Amino acid sequence: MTNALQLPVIRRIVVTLDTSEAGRPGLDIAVRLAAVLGAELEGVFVEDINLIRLSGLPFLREVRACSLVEEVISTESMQRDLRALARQAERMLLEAAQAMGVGCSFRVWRGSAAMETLSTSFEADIIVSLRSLRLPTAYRAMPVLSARESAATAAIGAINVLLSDSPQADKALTAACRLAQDLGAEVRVLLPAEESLETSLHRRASELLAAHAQRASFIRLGSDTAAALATAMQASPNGVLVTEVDHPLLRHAGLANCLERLRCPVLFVR
Amino acid sequence: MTIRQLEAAALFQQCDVQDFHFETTAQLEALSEIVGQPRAVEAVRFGIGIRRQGYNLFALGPAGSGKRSLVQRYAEQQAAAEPLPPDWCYINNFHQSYKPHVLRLPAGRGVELQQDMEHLIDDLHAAIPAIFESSEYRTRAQAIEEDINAQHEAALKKIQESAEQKGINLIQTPTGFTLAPVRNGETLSLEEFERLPEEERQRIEKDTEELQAQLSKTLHEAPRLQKEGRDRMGKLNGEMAGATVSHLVGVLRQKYAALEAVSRYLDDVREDVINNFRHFLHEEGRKPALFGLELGGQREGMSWENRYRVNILVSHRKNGAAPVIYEDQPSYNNLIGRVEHQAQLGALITDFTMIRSGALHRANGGYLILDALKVLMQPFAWEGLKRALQAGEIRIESLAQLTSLISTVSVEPEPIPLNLKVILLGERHIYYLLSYFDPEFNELFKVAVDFTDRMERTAQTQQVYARLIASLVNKEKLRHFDRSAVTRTIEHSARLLGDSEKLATHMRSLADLLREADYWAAQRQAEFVSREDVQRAIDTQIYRVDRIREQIQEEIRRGTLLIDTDGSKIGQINGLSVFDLGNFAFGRPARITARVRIGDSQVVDIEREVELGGPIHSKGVFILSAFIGARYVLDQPLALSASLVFEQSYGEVEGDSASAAELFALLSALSGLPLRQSLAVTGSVNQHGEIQPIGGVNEKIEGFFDTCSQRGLSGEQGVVIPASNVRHLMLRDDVRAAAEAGTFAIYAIDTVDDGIELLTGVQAGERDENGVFPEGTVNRCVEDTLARYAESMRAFVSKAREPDAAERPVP
Repeated sequence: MTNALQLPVIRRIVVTLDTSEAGRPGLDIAVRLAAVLGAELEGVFVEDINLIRLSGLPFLREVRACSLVEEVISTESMQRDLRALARQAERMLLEAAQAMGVGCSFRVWRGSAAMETLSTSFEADIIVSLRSLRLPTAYRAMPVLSARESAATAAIGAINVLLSDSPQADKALTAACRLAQDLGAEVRVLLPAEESLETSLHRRASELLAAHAQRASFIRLGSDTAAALATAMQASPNGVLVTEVDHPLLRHAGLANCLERLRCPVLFVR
Repeated sequence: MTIRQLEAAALFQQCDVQDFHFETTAQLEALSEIVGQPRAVEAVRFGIGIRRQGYNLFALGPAGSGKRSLVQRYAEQQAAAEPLPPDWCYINNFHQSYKPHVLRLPAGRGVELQQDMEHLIDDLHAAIPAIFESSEYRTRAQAIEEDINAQHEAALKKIQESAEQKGINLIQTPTGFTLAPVRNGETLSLEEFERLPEEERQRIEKDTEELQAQLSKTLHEAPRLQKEGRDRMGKLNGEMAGATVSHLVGVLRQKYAALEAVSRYLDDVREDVINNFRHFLHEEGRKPALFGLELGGQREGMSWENRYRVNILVSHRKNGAAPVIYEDQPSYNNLIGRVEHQAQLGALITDFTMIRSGALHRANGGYLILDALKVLMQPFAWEGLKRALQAGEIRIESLAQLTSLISTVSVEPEPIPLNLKVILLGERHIYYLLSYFDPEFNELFKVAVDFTDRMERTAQTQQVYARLIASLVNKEKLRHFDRSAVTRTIEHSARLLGDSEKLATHMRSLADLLREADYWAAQRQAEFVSREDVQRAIDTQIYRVDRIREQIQEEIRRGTLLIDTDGSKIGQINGLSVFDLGNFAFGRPARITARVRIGDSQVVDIEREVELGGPIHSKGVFILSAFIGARYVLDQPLALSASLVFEQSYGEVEGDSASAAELFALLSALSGLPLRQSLAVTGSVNQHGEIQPIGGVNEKIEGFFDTCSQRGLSGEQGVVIPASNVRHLMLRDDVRAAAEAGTFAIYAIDTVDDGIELLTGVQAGERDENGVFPEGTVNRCVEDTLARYAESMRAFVSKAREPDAAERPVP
């Protein structure tokens, strides 16, 4: 983290688009954040290169998630499906941005969906991603009841900030504060288990929080960061995770899997 | 010979002020009972008292005779002593919403239950969302979801792990899942795959196929997991909702524990709310809309708030009395009740909350008073009323359903038991028509309450009548009447009936007179109403409506209507007719003429020939024909052809009150003796020549008096009336004054001979021992003429029978 208390500027936000309902919170967060920060918003639909490659293999079959029909995969059908998804994604982006009065752009990007690739491919202060396993419809349609049933309209829970000592940490916390103030949400600062690092991060975070007049709670993660993070996020329903794009833990395979399982929007701040 | 010229005292039965010992009606005690209707009072008491099916009442009598006041008074007296009927409500039938249930509650509890249910709805709207937003629910729901998802993910993870060991990856595609070979984290392209050794390629294909089978099997588990998840969530939801709803409904159930029907209803409510608790969650943003119009989130046409509401059809105050209802507009819907509909996007929707009560509901357990004519004039109202009384229940059915005009979704409310007395008010002819033509009427309305329009006029009843006046004065808050005003009112009451020995019991007429007399007293700022005020009220009442009478008298004066009031003429007489305008009747003279000649025993009634004569008038003419046939030339055929006509009459003539006058005109024509035109005649005649009473005698006398007085009374003028009508005389002051002064006379006769003598000034004559009328008498002249006609006819017939008669022209 930087020593001087200079509030960073966030100009550009990229959101990876997932047309499923499970992916909708990620888009909503990105749009709201763009509105709050006055940042430029770009929606990216990732055409996973792996899907294009496998579609040429003649012996592969696809099992449809809803109809459970098995079909042989062809390059044409795969590309057609991806194009259809891209159109849906663009429409979703436009509708969400229009509703919040945010300007946006859209593009289709073919490549690896891995975050490391994405972070190097896009020049953005924040990359918003919601990596979710598209389970069959049956699971998502579980009749859970509440006054706020719809994922699209669900209130955002706590804004969880996973910090490191990198310079981007200030940006991550700044973005988290602005988002929390806009949403009226709670901020939870997730600190690493290492004592020396925890102390310095705690101090710096306190200064930034004071500068933003934002109250927050601090949570010390366990030594197994991935498992501790999963536990912390489970205790934060409808929560959002904010972290730096090059957080060392992201390279941890367990954490990546954990994020996918959490199915919560993640804001990668550069 | 019994011709009597009546004394002035006989023309009017005065009410003597000295008979009353009060100064004004303020000193009189008001009546507590209805006057002059002993039969009706007895019938009402009986009808209201008897508690058997079909003993409903029909109060028959002229409008304004006080029918409604009397029956309402007795009904209210009886109702005050009767138990208060229950409240009736409609509630939702949760199993068949188109057949709402009816709920019977003790008086006053209906409103209480309605308010309790409103509060329950509010409480449910607050409590159910709260329970589903609770931490407990969210945690348990999330646990179920995660458990189900975990089962699925575990199965996928197992495949993933198994695949990874074989260099294959489980990949999510845009619409599902597939398995693909990977090397160094990258999926193999076709070119890379083809560069692999044949053995390797075969292994990958074989492994992929096996894994594909596993994947397919795993994904096909989805429906089972889905159902398991739904079941577990459903159970959790029911558990959470059930706890909340049971608590809230339980409070009410305890409150209404003594009412079994309410307890059953609340059990149904509890079960239904638990089954449908989702509708109590926040609805914002979830209601469907079309073209910007909110559809309201309704199901089966009923909103969820309405589903648990209580529709009070009838409620009573706890300390009230049994109801006595008068329904002024007894249409079918106003009687039986109705089901209202609401238009929504072109469709008509309804539910049990739109059921509205009718008069039968409101009067149930008490008394319902209806105007019979109004009921009969409203489409289906009479049929609906009878059906309800016969069935002993009120079943609300729309007219559209009854007539099958419209087939629309509606409700069929459960019928309500009916227990009440219906009291119909109507004119006599309505009662008799219904009684004659409607066989069900006599079954349903067994008690006739017959109101008379008159009572005996005696010294005693006049005292009672004075108290009746005092009662009305008090009720209407009028100035009190002094004795003279009371006597004039009593005299007018007798005149209203056209009978000096009776008093009218027509309350509306009496009350109108009292009110108007009070008005005139007020105009002169008097403390009490006097005789002059009453007289002025009578005069102005007449003046307001006698325009036609004035016009007719004017036309007589101008000679447009030909009426002679002096001199004598053969075959011409002044008859008298009455014009009845409904609220006013007046008399006028009418010239009647007769012409005679030889003929075949036929008296032609010209009014009848042109269909302007009513049947009673024709009957009178036939009777006088029979009289002539039976009295004269008994041994010879009646070779008479005569014609009778009401001159200058252009409307229908009905009644037989002119038959005596017509007979006199005919006898004059036959005898050649002229009749006095200064007299007018009224009275009917029978076959024996007796003069019979007629109606409207006062109006007829006054009509001819007016004609004569405007030409100047000669002292010769007068009216001949039947002797039996003398008791009906209640003539105006001016007529009495003229009679007293000898300028106008009223003659009472008993027979035709009396009349013809008076009119011709010639003796009528009676047959002697030889059966012959004396020479020079009227009857002799008539018989001679008829004998001459018979002889001429005989000669004519003989000539006609000669052989060449056929060749001769007919004269």
